[in-house]
Amino acid sequence: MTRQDGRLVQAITYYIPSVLVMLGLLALWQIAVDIGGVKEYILPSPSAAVKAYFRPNYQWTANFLTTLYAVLGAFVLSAVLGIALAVVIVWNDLLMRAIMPVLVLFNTLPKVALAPLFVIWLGYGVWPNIVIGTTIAFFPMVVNTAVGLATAEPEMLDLVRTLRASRWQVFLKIRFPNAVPYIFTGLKLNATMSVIGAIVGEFVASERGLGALIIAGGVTLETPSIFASLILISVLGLVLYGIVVAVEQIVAPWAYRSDAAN
Amino acid sequence: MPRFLVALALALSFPALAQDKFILQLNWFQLADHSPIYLAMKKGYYKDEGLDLTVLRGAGSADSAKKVDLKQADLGISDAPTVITAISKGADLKMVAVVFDKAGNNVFFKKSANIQKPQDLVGKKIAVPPADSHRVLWPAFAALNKLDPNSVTLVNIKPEGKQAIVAAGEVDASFDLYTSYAIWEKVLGKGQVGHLLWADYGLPIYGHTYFVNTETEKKNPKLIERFLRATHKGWRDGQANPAEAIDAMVAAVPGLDREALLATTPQIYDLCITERSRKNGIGWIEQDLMQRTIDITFAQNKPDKPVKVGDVFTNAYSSKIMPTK
Repeated sequence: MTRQDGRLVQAITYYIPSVLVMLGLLALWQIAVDIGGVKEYILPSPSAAVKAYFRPNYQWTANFLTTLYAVLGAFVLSAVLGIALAVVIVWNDLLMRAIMPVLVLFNTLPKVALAPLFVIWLGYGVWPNIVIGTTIAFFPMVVNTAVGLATAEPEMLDLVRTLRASRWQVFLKIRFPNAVPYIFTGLKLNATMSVIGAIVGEFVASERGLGALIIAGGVTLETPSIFASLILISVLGLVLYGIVVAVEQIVAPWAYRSDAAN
Repeated sequence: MPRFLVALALALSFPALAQDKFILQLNWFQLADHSPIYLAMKKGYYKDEGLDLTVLRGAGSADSAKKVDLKQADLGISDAPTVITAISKGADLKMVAVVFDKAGNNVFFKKSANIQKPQDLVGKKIAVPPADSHRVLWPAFAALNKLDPNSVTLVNIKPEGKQAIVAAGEVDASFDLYTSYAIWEKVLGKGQVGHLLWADYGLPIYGHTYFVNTETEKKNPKLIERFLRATHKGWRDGQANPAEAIDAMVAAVPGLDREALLATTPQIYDLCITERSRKNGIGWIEQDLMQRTIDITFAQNKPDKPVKVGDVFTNAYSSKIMPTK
């Protein structure tokens, strides 16, 4: 067995318990609904939720893509804005003192309550949902990146200063590499929060999207479609999160500490 | 001797003091069409019937249908099409009286939008508050007016946001019950509100109804009768004096706008108390009209299981209370 194969086996073994627990819960849910005689519109069984995927009137592809665009848009925008803002405030102490409290203040506002205002200001659709998602997801990006940039080891900074490194060099060679693991932590939070943001936006106003399907399902008592949407939303979040983890392993393997790999 | 009679009378009336707890689940937060209930409460009509009434504010017709099915409330108010849909999905519900004898389904827009008839809605964006049945009824209403249901774009909107999104010009119109007229006038401006009442364009169906769990009907049918009698006395008195009913509700529920509510009362009594109520009593349900309501509810989407008109409603507990005008 090669080393690669060994790793793969280790990784699979690592995930077996969690997969088993998930399958067990699904089976329990199915049995409880079947035996308990729960009405489908109150709590559909997992199989009823899966059946909803085969009903064309829900337009799964179009609704899924709408949500996907909003989630990806919010994720990318949060990442770019968050990292850029973190660089700016770490670069300049005055800006840090001036902007950081405003950001903290903004972060304490409940964005769910703000969403209806965004609809009035920006209308509805994928773009406003990207903005709503960004307001939710970009704060952890800023904070994590800023902490990473600011906490480069003082000895290292002293050393390169004695070597007369320019500010730009210090930034590029010391601060930024130090921040990479923090940036990935921010991206992982960003991945889940972008999903929340997109759905919040769709709840308030939308033409299509998985959030729109959930709202419609609640009113028309099409509960299986709600569960089917929820499953897609969590898969979307999981896949995005998984991509971040995979990229982290490739870009910054030194920062990646996996329980599976060790 | 008279003293003895008094004592006897008191003793005999004592069982009436043991009040039955009764929970009413509203369809929505308190609007003018709920004010007769508060008037009946204030006048002691529920107490007279031996009912200790608790009123729960609602979160949409689907939600109250679900609550009554799960026996979290004794009686609910919901759109007839929503109750019918719930029954087709296995909910054990039965309608016992109508609130709105004519449905108040309606579309609001800015007067400047120049919408004169349903055909003018083609190509427009319309905000649909998700917590009422307009979304279910739209395809039927469109078909009645020879329109393609997909010729308008329906936009999901939080119920609280429908006036704002029209005012902001993000959409052209919004489906909303006619009873909210006053709120629309407040946001769009006096004389600036245009509207089309669906009932005027071929949609004669039932609107909100009172309904119970079928188990309540089996176990305690008298309870339903007592509730409806007290409630319809409230409607009778409210029609005679709408302001008194609104005042009773404003006094009982914090945060209501008395003037805006009062302004909607003429339309509400027109939709709720009609020639049919004058003939058979307030809340009476006619089979033909209920059948049409069922037909329209399932015009586009076939029911999960067939729904028979005789199973969804009963007049057995009709109060037979007559309106005074």
